[in-house]
This record gives sequence, C-alpha cells and structure tokens, in this order.
Amino acid sequence: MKLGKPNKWCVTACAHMLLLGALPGFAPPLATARDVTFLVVSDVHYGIDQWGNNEAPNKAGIALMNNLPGTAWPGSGWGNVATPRGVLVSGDCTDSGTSSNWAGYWFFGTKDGFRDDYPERGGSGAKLHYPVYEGYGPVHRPCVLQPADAHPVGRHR
Amino acid sequence: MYYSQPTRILWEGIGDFIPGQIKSGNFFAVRVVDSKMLVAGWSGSGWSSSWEVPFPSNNYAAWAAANSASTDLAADSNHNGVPNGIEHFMGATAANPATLPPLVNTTGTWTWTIPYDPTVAANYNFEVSTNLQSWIPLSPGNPAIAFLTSPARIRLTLPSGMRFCRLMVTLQGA
Repeated sequence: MKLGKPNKWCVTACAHMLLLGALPGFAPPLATARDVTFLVVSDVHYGIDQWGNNEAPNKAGIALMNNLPGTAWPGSGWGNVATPRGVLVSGDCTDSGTSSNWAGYWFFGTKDGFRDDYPERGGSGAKLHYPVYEGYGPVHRPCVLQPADAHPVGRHR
Repeated sequence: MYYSQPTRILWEGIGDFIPGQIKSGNFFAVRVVDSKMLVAGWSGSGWSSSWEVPFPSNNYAAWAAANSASTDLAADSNHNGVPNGIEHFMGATAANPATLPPLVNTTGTWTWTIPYDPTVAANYNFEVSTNLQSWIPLSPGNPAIAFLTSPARIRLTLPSGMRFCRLMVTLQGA
C-alpha cells in the first residue's frame, strides 16, 4: 500500500426509502399499499408579461388541473384520476423574482402573483386546489433581498 | 435505474413552458402504485401522451428467499466480505457469490468497475474521499459515473485527488 494513491474501498448497504411518499402534506395511501397521484408543471414565469395578462395562461392551466379528478387516465386499467396529493412546480415560478411577481400588485386592477394562484396548502375557486411544492429556479434570485429568494426554503418545513 | 427515464421524459415534455411563450394547459399527471407508474401528459384539451413504467420486481426479499440469505441486507450470509444487499445489487447468487473488484490504475487515472444487475429494485450512489472522514457524494448522472454493457457494469472514475471511494445501495423490498 502506497500513500497518495487510492487504495481502499468499502461498501455500505442501508434500508430503502421511496420518493414522494414521505413528502410533508401528502395524505396516507388509500386503496393499495402505494397509490399516489400528483401533477407536475414548470416555468410558469409569473411576471413575464405582468402589464398585460400574464396570469391568464396560468389560470387556464390551473382550471384544467382543478377539474382533472374523475377524468379517465389514458392507460388501460388505470381508472380515473384521483384527487392529486399535490403539484410539483419544478422551477422558474417567477420571471424576475420581484415581490410583484411573487405576490401580485394593484394598478387599476389586481394582478395576481405566483403565490396567489398557487397557494401553499391549496386554495379554492379559481386558485389551484392542491398543495404546491415549488422548485428553486434560476429566476428566484435576480438580486439580493428579493422575497422570492428565501421563500422556497422555509415554505415546506 | 427506473427513475431516470421518466425524469428525462418529464423535462422534455414541460419544455412547452418557454419564457415569453407560456403555453397554458400543459402539465403532467403521475400515478404511482405498487408495481408501476403512469406518467401522462396533458396538452390543452386532453391527454397528449403517456408512459407506463413498470417497477423492477427483483427486490431484496425475493433474492434473499431464493438464495437462502438473511433478511438483513447488511449481513454477510456467505462470509465473503460483501454485504447481502451489495451481493444482490451486483447480481450475485449463492452459487456465484460476488467478488468486489479492485481499483484499477490506468496511466494515473483510477477507476472502480462494479458489476450490477439492472433488474434489481435499487438506487445507488458513490462517495469519494481524500481522508476516509469527509465524503463527497457522486450520484448517477455525474460524468464520473459511466455505464458499461455486456455484461452490465457501472464504472466510477475517481476525480483527481480522491483516494478512496465507496458504494451505497438503497434497496426496495428489504
């Protein structure tokens, strides 16, 4: 054995864990030992056209997701879609990470931000009905002290 | 690894949400049950595509029963220095027990090539170290990890300066 060169390996085994089943806020399994339904969207970019009607495409998508339960899955034998346990927004929730992107603003009318339409615990009416689990995208942090920066960190503790 | 394919599909599919061209009504719905997963893409007015992904059935409990091994995956039932869980991951059997391969030095580059059974219900990652105290994880997808075929093997190329490496396997059905 010579110092300075790789000379040892070891192996380790440990018990398994499974993705998503342990996420906080997810309800216990229902009909089978494991039966989880969730949705995934990405790059919703609140603020990309906030002077126009940036929320419209997102709200249309939210309405579709809210109405999805009961729809037949496309695969044979999968039955109908159950109420999703949550929605994963994988990143780029806002376009520039400013407070108006995140929380909306008022200028001769209310403009919603990401947090309005995608409530943490799920909302009602036109808001997304399911818990939201957002990822941390590159536009969360355009500059220091922006509210979107720290938001995902403490949101789901 | 059965998560790799649907993950790739997801990222390609949600590329419809392009900055400046947000396309409403596109999302993925996922249902995970005991033995399989369905990933279905919704585009505007209906399902656009779907993928059914079966989960590996070759789990540790079945392997242990077939090879008269302990249900404890950390045990070393055949006393060859390789824990049962690693034996299972490597595709070993009672008749053909695993042998952990040595590190190989090729003109100063150290590699560790591990046989594995792609049907095993497992996830894994490597860890490397300079001192056996602080470990740096290297997960699948890292350029240091390559897959070889015929037979199936995983090759870790130790990053420069790293002296030690280890393999961690997480098994299902254990």
